[in-house]
Amino acid sequence: MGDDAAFERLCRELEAWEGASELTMTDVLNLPESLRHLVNWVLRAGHVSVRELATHLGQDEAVTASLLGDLSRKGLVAGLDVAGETRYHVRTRDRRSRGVSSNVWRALE
Amino acid sequence: MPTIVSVHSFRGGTGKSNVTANLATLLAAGGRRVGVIDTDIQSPGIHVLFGLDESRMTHSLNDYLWGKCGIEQTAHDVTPRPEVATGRVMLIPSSIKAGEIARVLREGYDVGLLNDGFHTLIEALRLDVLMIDTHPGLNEETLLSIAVSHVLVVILRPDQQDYQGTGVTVEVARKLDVPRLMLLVNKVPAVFDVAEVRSRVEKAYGADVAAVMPHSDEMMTLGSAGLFVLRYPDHPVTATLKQVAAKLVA
Repeated sequence: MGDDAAFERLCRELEAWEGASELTMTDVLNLPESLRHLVNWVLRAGHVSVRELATHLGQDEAVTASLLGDLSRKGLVAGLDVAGETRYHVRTRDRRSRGVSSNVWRALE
Repeated sequence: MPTIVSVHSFRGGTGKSNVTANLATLLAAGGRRVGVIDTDIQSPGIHVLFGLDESRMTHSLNDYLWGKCGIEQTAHDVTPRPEVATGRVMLIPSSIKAGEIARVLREGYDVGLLNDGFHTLIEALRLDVLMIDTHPGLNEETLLSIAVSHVLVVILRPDQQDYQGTGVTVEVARKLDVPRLMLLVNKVPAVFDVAEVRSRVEKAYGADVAAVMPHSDEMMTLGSAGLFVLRYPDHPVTATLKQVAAKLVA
């Protein structure tokens, strides 16, 4: 699949995906294929710039910046300042409370 | 470029922490700066292999996850024989205090901080390799470890439960686009044909089998009281682990 066809597929998947207020790794696992590949790539890179992502996708920076905006609105990436440059990373969250009796916690503390 | 290696198994008792600690030791002996992070917060233990006593743990991964310190402050230099070592082993332990484990279980933590921490560690400690010792099974933390790793080592025993669980893990690893996946079959009884085990596992999962390690009475007797590769430098198991270490950084 060429870069443009692959990119179009990615955009379609992103549009159809409902988004996540707090992305978990389980969410990542269940993403549509193209979107999942992209998120995996960003996760493994740590954080990426618009330029780096544009190179990866074979698209120009303006189109890529727009995509990053959409990814951010859907909760897949977040911007962060790294030495004065805006870079993007995947922000996963999992802060769960296990339902165990408070007596057990008190005994352990 | 630094390499992130996750050492994982679907079930407990496969020898994950032992393998991780010994591989890290071998890599450091080869001149590399190696970080080892114990993300098995519910049942930490790799610090025992490195002889890091609880009383000497100034900070732990738990402290970082609770915002008490930077992750680099949790690193303890546990390099074996530092006077002759050319590399380094820096251990980021998890707390063994019941209260702190309880707190994590009760309140959870931001898994995203772990990912940030991995990359900060690599930079701050100038690591060549970061080895992640994971909790067994699939959960948010292990999924994250797999997702950020360049190499995933999946350890299994020649056991039907392990075989089935490894299938699940391999499927997940492929969905998370792990660049390199290696299987390590551990604790293999002497009566088993090593070549046959290797062939069977390779065929079953379509993945590289880095090693088939025989059960070792010496390893069982040592019982995590130290690093096997240092105690038994000429043992066949040590030779096998050296081959695996070489594959990790190839």
